[in-house]
Amino acid sequence: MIDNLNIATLLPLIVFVPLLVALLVFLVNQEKWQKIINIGFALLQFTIVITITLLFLKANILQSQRYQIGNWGAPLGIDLVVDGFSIVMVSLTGLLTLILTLYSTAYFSESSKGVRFWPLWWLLISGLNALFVSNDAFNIYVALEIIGLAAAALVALQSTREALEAALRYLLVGLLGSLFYLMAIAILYRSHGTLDLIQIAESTDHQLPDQIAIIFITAGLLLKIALFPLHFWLPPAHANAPTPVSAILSALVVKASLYVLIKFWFEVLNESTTVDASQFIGYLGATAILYGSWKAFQATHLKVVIAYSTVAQLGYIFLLFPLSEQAANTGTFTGSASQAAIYFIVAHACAKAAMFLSAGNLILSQGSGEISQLKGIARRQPVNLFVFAIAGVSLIGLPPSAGFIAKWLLLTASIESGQWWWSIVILLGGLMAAMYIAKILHLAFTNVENNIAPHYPEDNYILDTQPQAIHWILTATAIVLALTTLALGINAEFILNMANPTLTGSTL
Amino acid sequence: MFKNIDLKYEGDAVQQHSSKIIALLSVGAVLFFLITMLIQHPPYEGGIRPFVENKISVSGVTNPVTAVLLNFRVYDTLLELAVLLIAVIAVLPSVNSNLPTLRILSSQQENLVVFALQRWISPALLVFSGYLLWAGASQPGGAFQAGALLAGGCVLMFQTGSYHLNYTSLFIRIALIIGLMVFVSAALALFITEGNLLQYPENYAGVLILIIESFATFSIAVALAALYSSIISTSNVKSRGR
Amino acid sequence: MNTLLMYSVTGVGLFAIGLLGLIISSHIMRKILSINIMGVGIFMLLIAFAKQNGEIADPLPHAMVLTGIVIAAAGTALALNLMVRLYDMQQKNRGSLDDR
Repeated sequence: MIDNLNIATLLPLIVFVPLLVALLVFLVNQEKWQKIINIGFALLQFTIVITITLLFLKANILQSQRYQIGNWGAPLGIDLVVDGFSIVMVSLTGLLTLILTLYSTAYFSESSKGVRFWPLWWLLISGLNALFVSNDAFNIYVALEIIGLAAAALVALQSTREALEAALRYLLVGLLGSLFYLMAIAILYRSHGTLDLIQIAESTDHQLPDQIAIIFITAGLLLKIALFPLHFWLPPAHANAPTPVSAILSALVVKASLYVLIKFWFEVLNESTTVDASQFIGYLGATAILYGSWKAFQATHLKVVIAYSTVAQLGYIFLLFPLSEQAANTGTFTGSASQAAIYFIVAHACAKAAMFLSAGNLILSQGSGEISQLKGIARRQPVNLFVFAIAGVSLIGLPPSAGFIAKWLLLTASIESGQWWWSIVILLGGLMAAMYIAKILHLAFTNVENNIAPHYPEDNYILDTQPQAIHWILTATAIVLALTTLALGINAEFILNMANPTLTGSTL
Repeated sequence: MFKNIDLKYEGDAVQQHSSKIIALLSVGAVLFFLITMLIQHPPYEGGIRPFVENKISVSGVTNPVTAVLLNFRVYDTLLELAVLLIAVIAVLPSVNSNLPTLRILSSQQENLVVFALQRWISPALLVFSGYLLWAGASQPGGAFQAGALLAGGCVLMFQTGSYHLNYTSLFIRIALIIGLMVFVSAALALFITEGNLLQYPENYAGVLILIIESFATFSIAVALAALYSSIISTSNVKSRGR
Repeated sequence: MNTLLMYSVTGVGLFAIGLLGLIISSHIMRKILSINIMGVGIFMLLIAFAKQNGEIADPLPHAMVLTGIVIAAAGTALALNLMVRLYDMQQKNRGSLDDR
């Protein structure tokens, strides 16, 4: 029966199953039924994603068959397609869905916020999957809006003043970015007469409309990815959201806009981009690395540290742009720099999610997120701190973590292409990440000798809550993510084969 | 930078910042390039119109826009209903209350004109939205237009101050999701029977579209009314507004 | 310059006005309104060039505009709801009207 399953026929299911679950869980307001529905469908979704990934790997093709919805075919209808990059993102989404759903069932079991959380959560997952499998420019716009609105609504869930402000800011920035993108595809449709990405790629030329379109797409999506200096909305939003929401925001939601940007920049409107623009984005990325790490070192609240760390880590991925222009194949998203970027996305997603989960556990157990309050927590929460340390190791880029492989690939790409100055930035970024990770770990391991009065800084991000005992599921899911990071650090061929199946002999 | 959350009623309209000039110049440059592009590069010949004219006879409706919206690119319409649902779920009150679904308060009629208008025009609104839904097959119209009109009628209802809907009751919850639920169920059923997602069988395409649209109209109307109610009556301030 | 080209230019102009308003306005309500104006500008551009070649209009931009209107309405409603909740929170804590 496995042979009869086609990849293409399973693609719509990963969008529709979460939609169905969202509707069911909204209808059924009872706590215990919700738990059963959530866990059951998370497992189902995971199974479907695993099936798709295995089929794709077995077929060893560059791109799956097009799935023409309604059998109309582009440009009349909408097509769904996956290639190497999409499959990596889809499986990453599937893995994080399962783990974060399990975490959330335990996290929200005592609180009343779960009732509004679950429908929004499943709609967000559905939007993410719809984005990664879509091949139609306007469909991507609708998926971006689903993701943006659901994410902003999830950030506002806490209903504290800081959370509402952060959510409003995030929503406005997201709407602005989407409107830029919509303007770009209006211009693209006006010039090419089709909305299908592959057909646009075939009929593109280096004229003014395409140049204006790629500028608009870049501007809009850079706003949504929070590249420096457009990053101002990210730290408050990720710090004030509930823990599983912070995890998925840092791990997947910003990567979704990055995926669309990479698709347009490298595959659809390839000839319209210039070397100077790529260098400029690279410089912005380098600044993001240094600035984000510095602000992370200065921050006093644990979640703010991790949020600024996301700003810094995203800067690494933007080094892909200048490094890829010199690569051999500029027609498609292959080459050593793109392998590094894909690996970085996966490594950062797992590590950042693990870090947010363990930080959330530490904050729950301590009742406060201020770093000064976390003195000596190593004795009380050793396992969670261990997870935090492993995630930190991946962010710094030490072996045997996935972050090490990603940084190694980036360094190799930058030296190969002759732009050696990026290596300095990469190494410097690693050192600065070590600075803020070590600061937190040092505080965690010190002995609490005398009672120091708590020192409240002027930014009061998250209200203090009562310290609670941690449910074992919260710790267990964080451990699973940390182990995944280590596993990806030991076996790098797995992800690289998924991303570029016909490219044998990687740069390792 | 320019994303301070400012809610002062009598504050400055425009930021007293020197970056105003820079913003004006950059937006002016953007406008210049866009207009240049519009003048120099004419649009593509036809777009997808030839494809639509080819296939419209099998789509079940005769209006090309409705055919595109509800048959050729129905996947987008489905996702767009999900977007509307996200907005509604986000603004619903967080505590489920046990009030009955619809309460008709007989408060003193301060505004007789609105009250009279609402009483007289509601039947006409109902009939007209039903007509819009039906006419969508051959003329401009359809689910969204009809739903928006019904929601407008609900807004008028709320303005009189004597109706109060409990949006967390079971009936309203069902009403909110029934549109998307019917859509998704139809999609999955067609996936199993026809082998392709959202591929309507030729004979029943028109009927299927009408059924999906009817439930969608109902959901859209309730969703828009819920969005309106949530903004005019936050749970903290009960005495202000209606 | 034919009429439809003028509509396209108007649409683009509305987009630019909305963008300028979004950047330099200080109150959140004006920012939300500016986003709506930007959206309407794009919709006008879409409809204008749909008719530019031939008598029967291209239906795809019309469908895009219908979808876009609903999405814009949903986004605006969510933003307005957040704004009103923030305002109520501010009114309740009479101590500080300052946000930072």
